[in-house]
Amino acid sequence: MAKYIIRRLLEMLITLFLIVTATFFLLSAIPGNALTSKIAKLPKTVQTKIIQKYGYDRPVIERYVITMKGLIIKGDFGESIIRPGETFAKNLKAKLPVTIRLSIQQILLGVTAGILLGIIAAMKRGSYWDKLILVGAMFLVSMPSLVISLLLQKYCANGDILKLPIIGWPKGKELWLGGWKYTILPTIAGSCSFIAYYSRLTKTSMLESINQEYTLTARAKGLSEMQIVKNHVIRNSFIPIITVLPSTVAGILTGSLFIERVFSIPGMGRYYIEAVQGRDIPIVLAGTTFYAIITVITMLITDILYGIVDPRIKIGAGK
Amino acid sequence: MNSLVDKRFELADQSRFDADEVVRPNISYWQDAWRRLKKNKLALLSMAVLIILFVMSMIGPGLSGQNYTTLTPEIKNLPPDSTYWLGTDYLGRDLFSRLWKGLRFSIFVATVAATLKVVIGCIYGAVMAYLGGFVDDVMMRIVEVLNSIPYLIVTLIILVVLGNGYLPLLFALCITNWTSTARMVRGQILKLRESEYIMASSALGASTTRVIAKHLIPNTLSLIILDMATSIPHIIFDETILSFLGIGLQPPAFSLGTLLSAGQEAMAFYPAHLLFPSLLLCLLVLAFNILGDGLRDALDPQLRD
Amino acid sequence: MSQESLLKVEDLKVSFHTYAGEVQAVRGVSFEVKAGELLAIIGESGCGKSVTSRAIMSLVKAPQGEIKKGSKIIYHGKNLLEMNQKEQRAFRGGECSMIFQDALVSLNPTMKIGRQIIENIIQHRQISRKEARQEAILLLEAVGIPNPETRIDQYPFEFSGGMRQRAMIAIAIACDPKILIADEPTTALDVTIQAQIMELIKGLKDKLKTAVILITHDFGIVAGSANKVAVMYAGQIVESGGRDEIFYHPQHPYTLALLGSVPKLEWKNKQLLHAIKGTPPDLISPPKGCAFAKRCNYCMNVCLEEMPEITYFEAGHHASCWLHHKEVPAANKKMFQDDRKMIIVNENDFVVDEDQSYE
Repeated sequence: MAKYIIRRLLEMLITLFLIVTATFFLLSAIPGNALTSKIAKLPKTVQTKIIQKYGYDRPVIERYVITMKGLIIKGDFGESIIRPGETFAKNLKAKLPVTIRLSIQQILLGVTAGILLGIIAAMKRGSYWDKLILVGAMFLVSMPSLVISLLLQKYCANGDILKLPIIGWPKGKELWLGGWKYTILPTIAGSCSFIAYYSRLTKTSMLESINQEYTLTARAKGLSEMQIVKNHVIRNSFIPIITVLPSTVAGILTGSLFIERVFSIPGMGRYYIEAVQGRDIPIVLAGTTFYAIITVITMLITDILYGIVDPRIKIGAGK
Repeated sequence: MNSLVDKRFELADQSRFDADEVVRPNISYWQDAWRRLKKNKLALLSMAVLIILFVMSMIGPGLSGQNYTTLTPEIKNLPPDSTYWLGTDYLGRDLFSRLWKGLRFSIFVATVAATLKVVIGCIYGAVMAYLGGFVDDVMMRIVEVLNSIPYLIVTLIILVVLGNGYLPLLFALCITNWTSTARMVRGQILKLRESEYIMASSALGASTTRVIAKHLIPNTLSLIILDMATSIPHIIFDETILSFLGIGLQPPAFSLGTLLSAGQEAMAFYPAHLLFPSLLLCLLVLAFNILGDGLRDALDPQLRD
Repeated sequence: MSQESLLKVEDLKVSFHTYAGEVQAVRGVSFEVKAGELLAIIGESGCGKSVTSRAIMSLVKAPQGEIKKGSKIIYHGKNLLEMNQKEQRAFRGGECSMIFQDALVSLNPTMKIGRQIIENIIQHRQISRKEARQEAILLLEAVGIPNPETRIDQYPFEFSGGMRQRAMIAIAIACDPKILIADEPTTALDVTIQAQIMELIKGLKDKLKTAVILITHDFGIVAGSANKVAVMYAGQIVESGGRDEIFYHPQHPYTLALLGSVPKLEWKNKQLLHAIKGTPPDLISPPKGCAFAKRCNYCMNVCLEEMPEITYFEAGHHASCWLHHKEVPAANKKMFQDDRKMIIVNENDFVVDEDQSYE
């Protein structure tokens, strides 16, 4: 097990190295970046000076070596071009908690509500409830979170139906707990698609499990429907649910890119998008690496979880 | 009376009946799939909706006969009336026409990107499965690396590098999407190659071409069709998000996402600017999703009952 | 031996609703079993034998599956089909349990063997989890699993095929059921393991006086273990009787054909191994006459038109065939009897010696 995790961590490092390298060279291929537009109006001599300061006069390979050195020694990709003096790491401290809280709230609401609805639909299959959940999930899955965000903003904020703030996020003491009225709409907006997705997935997966022979055996033991679901169906039907967890995390991160923008939330997503739009290369590079790290770690956790849920899979026992 | 009894107990003419006779009609996989799809009224309805949306996206922009490209500040933000059926936007352009034009672009991007994704994915996956060994390992590693970043982010970076526009947008939307198709095709081919019925078929002397034509393609095609049907809504979502963020398209080109972005700014006073693009987008995705579900039910041979 | 029957099935009719129409899987089946008796239900695949067993366990699932009105499954004087959910659950697993065909898919892959046995014990008996665990270890030992203390904490995938089937049996006998239904318990196993499993089931039957209903398509297994045999075809029992009657004096052409399709050492002449021509009828639209008529060598005009009545022979032996009608010409009957003489050469053909141990 420990050996397996070490091997995986090494593989992750290689993957991350490849991603950083690829992103670096891709971004170096951009004809103009934040710097060129920033200094466009300055005299020629000043321009060359500034370019020298940021090191953009040197060949790509040299810059790459410098960047990687900086990454390994300082753990950073250098200063922002748009806001001199700021680094990605500095911003991370302020902005990451915001995104983490938003993500956790979205995952908690989306995944738990989705799974619960899925279980209800599977157990009462064919009933009024099942159909209601089915239709509801279909609608939710078909409504882009973007549209949901905008409609919530229009119709649930500022007094039309509910008196919730349109934009903003709790600060200071309320960063982790409290200030709920700010977080309600973004959380709902981001979790709707997951509620729909997980309820559908849970239902199919449970029905598949219910149709297996071992459920028949359990029924032949005289267990009640409730006991069968609790003892036999749930664990087996959670295996496919666990496999989609990394894509959920990726989805939450992607979602934060525009949900934070729509609700003006000062989190990682908005920060990253601003960097992308401003072509602030060090920040884009750092942000991309950051997202890659999270995704890769989630994948590792998923694999470990997989081994826990399904005893047939022995982690570290080779392919 | 006696003769009647005799006749009853006479041996029946065995040649008259065929014990091997099969009563049920024999239907092929595709016939069966089509039959199931036809029985699914909701899927048929969504197919009709999609056709209507497609036709409207073609003829819609010209239907009202109003200008939707040039800026006319004098008539900005008009409410719906007989001339401007859905009113005008903040720059005085006919919203009705813009709506269908935006839809046209969204449909165009989604179908082209989905097709590209499937084609690239199939080729990549088939090459992986066919070559195997070292090449397979390397190609698989590339897929894994691409999958290690949320793919909207890859799309963003590609767009930053290539700049805005139709072609960069299409390219960026396909660049990571295809990995799931490639994995699926590779897995399917490997699974089928190991499957006993294919072994049986080659053991009975079927040529490679026959195995590919009769077994590999039919058994993979349904998965590919499904893959394409389910990826279209995702691509529409992503394109909308990118356009909303102002990253994908170069004005004056616009899509439903651009309209949503404008709608957000105007929503406090002109909710119609937000509502109509939202409704159209949801209708489009809903129709694709229901059709996709219908196709899944129709194509999954496991569900044949 | 004239004790009362433990379980009585009367006119059982089960249908499944599919897109193509209503499949009449079981069309009026009646039989009974007594304590300590082994009834074998034999027939080709798709003849409704498994559905019959599932109906007894009330495992036929609505809405596709439907047990028709008028069917009766009587246990201790009570109709199971009229019991409420709770009584049915107490019957399943407690009074009557079932061994399924493929233990690999019938055991929960993600649950330890021990828990799967304990689950059954706790469900029906008022004992603690700890005692149940002890009980489970004893059960595993009783079905011949070595090192039960360690085996109990293993998962099904860590067991071999034969061991899995043994564990399955341990689950089935956990609550000392009065009736044990074995649905093709040995089909998925090697021949040597098959014999061991059948020995195990037979031993249980003799020791615990359990009534066993054995569902199979294998005459070899029936010969070595059954007291009574019921032959099923197209959802109906076409012939039923004591083992010896069925093996040496079959009265239905289908039974004879089945016996004829089993190769025997004494046969010198190759062509005597009869394959039954054709396929069973489609149960969506079953024929109005005898279901076997179109595959029968002695088919008469009447067989195609009307359902045959039941003819009773000695000691509970009965068959549904027009050949036994009193007006049937002697020539036809003779044809059948001649064939029977040819196929059943030696009275000892099928007798697998019961004392002989299997190697």
